[in-house]
Amino acid sequence: MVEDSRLASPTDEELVQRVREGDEQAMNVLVDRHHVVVFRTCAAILNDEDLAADASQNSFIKAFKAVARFRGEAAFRTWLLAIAGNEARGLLRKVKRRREDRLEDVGVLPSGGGDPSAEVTLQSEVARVRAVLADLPEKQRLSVSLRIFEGLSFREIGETIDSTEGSARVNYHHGIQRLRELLGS
Amino acid sequence: MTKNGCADVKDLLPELIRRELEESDRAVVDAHVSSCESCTEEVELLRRIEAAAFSAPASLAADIKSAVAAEFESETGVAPGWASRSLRWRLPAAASVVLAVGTAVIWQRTQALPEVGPLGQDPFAVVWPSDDADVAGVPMLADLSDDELALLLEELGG
Ligand SMILES: [Zn+2]
Repeated sequence: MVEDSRLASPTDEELVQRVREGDEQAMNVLVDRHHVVVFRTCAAILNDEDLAADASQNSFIKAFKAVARFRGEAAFRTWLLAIAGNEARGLLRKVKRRREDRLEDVGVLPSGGGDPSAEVTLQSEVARVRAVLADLPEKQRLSVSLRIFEGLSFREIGETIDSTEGSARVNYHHGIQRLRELLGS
Repeated sequence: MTKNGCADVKDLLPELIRRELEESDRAVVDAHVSSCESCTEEVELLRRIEAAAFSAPASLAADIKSAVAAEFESETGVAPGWASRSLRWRLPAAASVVLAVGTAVIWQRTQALPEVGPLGQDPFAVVWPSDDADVAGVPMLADLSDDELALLLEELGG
């Protein structure tokens, strides 16, 4: 239990070093600390709770397997979120392929994007907001989600979406503008 | 915060609704919002967006920990306590494979637009902000494998 108390508030970087040395408890602390932001990143891309949970799990496994190649130039969280974004996009591609195969099998064509403001009129408030969010370009969606749901700075969002701080800010404000147009104020 | 125009205040509205503003900023932001219709509306909108966040399943952290433990156990056949040996000898091998194949692949990617929406039909995908510097000619992370991504991050950092 001495080990546990020393793990009470170490930095991410200290924990990563312990993971490199094979410390399973350090992995658990990193999971406790970051699973929600990883989940929200995956959910912003996948727009589905179950898929986001699967992608979150795989993200941590892949991050821990790759931890020897994390050298600490970026924050661990930023590096982890980049892995999570990749994992979610990979899963999204798989799901889409599966869905398209199924639709071809039964001779039904995808319904298409359509007008989100028309499609969502009969849905609940939460479903409406999610539907409009889901129709934003990915960088806008991630910028809005990580800024509002997780309070990440524009700088960290920029690093997470492979972009600059200024670009993250612009993507955020364009996303908010679009949401205002489609949801009304 | 030294300025208090709409643009500066709007940058801070997420912190306002998350109650994460420092006292001095909060006074300035509150004063502005209470006299600005546009910012008041935006606060309202942000609250609606916040209410639509997906909630992580209650068991998510525990599920991830089990999966992580099972993953490393299954690779080594050792019970917890495994990691010090397994990680040390596995990672250099994995890294060398990536080095052999990764570099050429990464920089070929030029301008993949993100895929979004459940059916991949995104009416706004091409409407990038004009001052978004990363529209063309820059490698996108969207299509990289995790190994490629890890290597890229390493190269950028190193
Ligand atoms: Zn204002």
